[in-house]
Amino acid sequence: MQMQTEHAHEPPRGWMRWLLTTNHKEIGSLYLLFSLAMLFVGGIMALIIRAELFQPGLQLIQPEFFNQMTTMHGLIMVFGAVMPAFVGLANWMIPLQIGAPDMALPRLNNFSFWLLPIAFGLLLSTLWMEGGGPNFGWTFYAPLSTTYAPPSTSFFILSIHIAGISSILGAINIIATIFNMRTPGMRLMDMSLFVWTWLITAFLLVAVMPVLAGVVTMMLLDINFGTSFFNAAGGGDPVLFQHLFWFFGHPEVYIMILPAFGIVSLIVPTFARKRLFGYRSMVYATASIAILSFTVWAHHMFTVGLPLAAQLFFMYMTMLIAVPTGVKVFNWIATLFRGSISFEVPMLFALAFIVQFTIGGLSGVMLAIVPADYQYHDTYFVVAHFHYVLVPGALFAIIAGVYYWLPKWTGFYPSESLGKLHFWLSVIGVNLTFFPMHFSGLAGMPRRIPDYALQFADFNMVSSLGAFIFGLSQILLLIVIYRCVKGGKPAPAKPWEGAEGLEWTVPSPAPLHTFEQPPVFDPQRDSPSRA
Amino acid sequence: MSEQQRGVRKTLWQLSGLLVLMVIFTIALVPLYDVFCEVTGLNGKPRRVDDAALQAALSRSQQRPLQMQFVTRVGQGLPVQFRSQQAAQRPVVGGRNQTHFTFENQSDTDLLVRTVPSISPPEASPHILKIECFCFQEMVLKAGEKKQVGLMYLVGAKLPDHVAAVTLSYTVYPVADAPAVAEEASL
Ligand code: HEM
Ligand SMILES: [Cu+2]
Repeated sequence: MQMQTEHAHEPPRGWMRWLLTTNHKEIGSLYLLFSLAMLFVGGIMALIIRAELFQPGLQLIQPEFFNQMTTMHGLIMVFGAVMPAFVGLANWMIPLQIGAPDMALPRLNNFSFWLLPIAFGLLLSTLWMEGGGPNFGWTFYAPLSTTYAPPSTSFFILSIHIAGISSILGAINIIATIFNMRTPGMRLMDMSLFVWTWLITAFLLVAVMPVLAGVVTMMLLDINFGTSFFNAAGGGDPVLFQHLFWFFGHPEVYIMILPAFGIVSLIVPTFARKRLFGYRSMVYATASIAILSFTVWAHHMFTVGLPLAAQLFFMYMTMLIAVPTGVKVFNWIATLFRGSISFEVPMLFALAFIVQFTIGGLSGVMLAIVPADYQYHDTYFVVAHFHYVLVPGALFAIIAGVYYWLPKWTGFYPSESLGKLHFWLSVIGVNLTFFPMHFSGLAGMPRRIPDYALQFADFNMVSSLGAFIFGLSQILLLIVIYRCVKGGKPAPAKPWEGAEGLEWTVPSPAPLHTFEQPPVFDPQRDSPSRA
Repeated sequence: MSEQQRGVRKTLWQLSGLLVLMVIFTIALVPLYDVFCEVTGLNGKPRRVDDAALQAALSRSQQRPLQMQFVTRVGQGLPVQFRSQQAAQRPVVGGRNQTHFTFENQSDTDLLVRTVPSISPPEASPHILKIECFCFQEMVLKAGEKKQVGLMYLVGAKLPDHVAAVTLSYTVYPVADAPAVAEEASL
């Protein structure tokens, strides 16, 4: 049976094999490796920023270069590290979790991946162009990014277009796979929460990526063809840019967190050895977050001069979104309650996610209060907020997922002792880096500045020390992954005692081709929503 | 074609439809935003004046304490001095009011400029109707030329009572590097 579906000819060898592969596992690995590389590129930029901010005054770099570093760091982490990591996990795990032999559109899958190195090669190359790379922040507000932008901006726009097309194609592929390739008998309400959260994320991507493409296209026209979408001199409006950007931007932040919710919702039950509490409410909460995320964008713009009615509307909607988010946190804690918990590395990262993401959610609610936001806006308090949800939030969930599924990918357990060291250094580093930013922000330190007033010196020194601890400890992640690929304690098909799901029915390491015959799925026995 | 392939194809069509819809929506957001701002007066976008609006505004002439403040700004290093004849005036609510502005080209080259208005607070902007205005029109300022231009405006009788002051701000911009926008200047 295996023989019939095997390709008649040998797959190409060497690098051609990776260039032409249409296998979801290989493409998943490519996405994950690309994301890991970008994590380090973006991380080095963050360390350049933190090195400059170690002390007040200008020591190491010029303000112009500093601005390019903050911009590139944000763009690379958002579009190059976090998003591709989730797509990589989706590629690997969604077919395995729904019992499909591959993604619905394997060749499109290959194309969406290879767009990414092109996009980010182009983006990085702008650093060496005349006038330097993008220096207007990852939010690229016009007219800073049009009238006052460096000449390389058109390349920046092109690279955003390419990365956006990659995301859209990837999302379409994921939706098509989930809707059509589930093993017979698996209903939507029988899918793992990782599949569910990704399904909803993919819809968000298809909905908002065109808006991003539209807004950068308008920038391109303003820069090169004399239109005035965002140019007040020609009757345009810079505030329009912010509305369009955040109409994309806020759903985008949920694109970066929903799959993380899914990963944590798998890991917590596994190591608490209990079924997930409130499966259905998790699905509904995810869907409500996604829908509400289209109605809160102007909480990024409270200070542009919105009318009172709009400020109130966006304030209440933003607070409302904290409710389904709270439901999720509640469900995770209820799952832990009276579980027989063990603390393997994936669980450590997942638990740290819950605590630290909640800190980020709480500072988010503070920012949602309009009069308070007048004080906090564009200070380090905002930087603290979104780093808490993105680094010890989204990134920790990705790392938790990597530790959780590495045995399935490589056939070996990742080193428990190195993993624990990696975990503790990361937790300490990340909190040393970002917690003091709450205080420097409340004290009034503006974001995106290369130099600062003396009273912020202590907080910044702590942040910088923490950043170097956190950054350097990610080398341990590299070592763990490398060693786990090379060998270690062999992992059985189901390496974690309490794990559930179809992915654990295939051998470890998962062979290149799995589920060529759809696996048997009995909702009474296998569904995470079973009674 | 298998059942599954047919399903995938159908999903693809549906998603392409959604994608096209979102692209159209994005493009539509630009004019929608303008319409929205104009209807609500947000962002200080002044309203178009039509006869009905004029009649409605004129219906009830009254004297009440309102201050009309004028702010002038020069954009992007333009070598122009732009002044308002008065910093502020007390307009007749429900009637016509007049003032002057002067432009002076302080360079030795001719300039093509355009002035863009903005009204604050937003809730006042639907009630400030400009009958005669230089705003949005392209204007030539010869080298060294000094030019006086008039503004005739009307404060609508329905201006909410709690509005005690209205700021009318003008920014003068160079036109030279934005040639394609002349048709937008239709106010
Ligand atoms: C309880 C949920 C949340 C609430 C109430 C909330 C609220 C807010 C508010 C009001 C701001 C604007 C602050 C300002 O600029 O003055 C903000 C900024 C931000 N939030 Fe959240 N947030 C929440 C969750 C999240 C999550 C889950 C993410 C991402 C995973 C996120 C990412 C961001 C980012 C990236 C920014 C800053 C964007 C920038 O200006 O560069 N937030 N948040
Ligand atoms: Cu937001």
